[in-house]
Amino acid sequence: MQLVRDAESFQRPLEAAIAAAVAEVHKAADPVAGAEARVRKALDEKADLEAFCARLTQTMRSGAFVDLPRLRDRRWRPLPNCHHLTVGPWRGVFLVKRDENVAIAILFSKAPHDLSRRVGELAHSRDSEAEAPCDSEPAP
Amino acid sequence: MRRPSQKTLLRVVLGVSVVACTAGIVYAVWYGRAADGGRGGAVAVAISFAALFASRNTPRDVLEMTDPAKHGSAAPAELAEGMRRLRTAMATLIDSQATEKVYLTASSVGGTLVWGFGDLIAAALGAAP
Repeated sequence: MQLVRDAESFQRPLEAAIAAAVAEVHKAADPVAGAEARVRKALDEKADLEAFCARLTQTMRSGAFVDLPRLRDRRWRPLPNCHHLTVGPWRGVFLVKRDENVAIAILFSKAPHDLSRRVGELAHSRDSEAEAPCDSEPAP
Repeated sequence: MRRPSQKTLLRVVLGVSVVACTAGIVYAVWYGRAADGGRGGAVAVAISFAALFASRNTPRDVLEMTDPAKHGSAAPAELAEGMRRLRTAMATLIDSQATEKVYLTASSVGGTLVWGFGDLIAAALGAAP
C-alpha cells in the first residue's frame, strides 16, 4: 500500500517535532527548580516520537494501515476510512482507501488532539495564502 | 506505563514512612507491647535508604540521548551541543538532589526518631509495658 503524506498537515509538523525534540529537552531544564520532572517528561516524549517514527516505518513496509485503530469522533463513532497511529502524545491520522491501495497521512499532532480545531487552522492558513499579495511581481 | 517523576516517588516514600511509623505505634498500643512501638520507624528508615538508590537516571539519560534529527546519533558533534547537554544534566541533578534533601530528610529523620522513641510514645498512649 502506498503512503502519501500531506505536506502541510503531516510532513512539516512531523519534521518540526523531530527537529525540536532535543531542543525541548534543553528548554525544560530552565529554570533549575522543577527541572527533573520537566526534563523527564521531555525525554519520554522524545522516546515516544522515535517509537512513532519506527512504527510508521514498520507500517509503511507492511502496508497494514487498515490494521491501525479506527479514529472515532466525540460520540465514539468510527469515522469512515480513518485510522490513527498513536504513541504517547503523538498521533498520526491516515485516510485509507482500500480500493485504490493508498493511505494518505492527513494529520500529525501532539496531545491534546483536536481534529476539528486543527482542520479549522489549516483551512484558515490556506485561505490566508490565497489572499496574500504576489511577491513575484516586478518593481515599477 | 511510564514511571512517575522522582518528586512523585519521593512523596510516596514519605507517605509510606509516615504510615509505617504510625502503624508500628498503633500495633504496639492495640496488640503488642510498648517495646514494639519503634518497629515502624525501622521500616521507615529502611524505605528511605532504599529510595536513595532507586532514583531515576535522568542526568545520564540526558547525556546519552540520541537526536532523532541526526538518525539516532548519540555523540554530540558540536561543542555547543555538548555544553548544552552538560548544563541540562547538571540542572536535573541539582533539582533531584534538592528534592531528595527535603523528602528523604523528613522520612529518615522521622523514622529514626520513631525507631528510638516509639516505645515511649506507645507507652504514653497506653501500650502494655
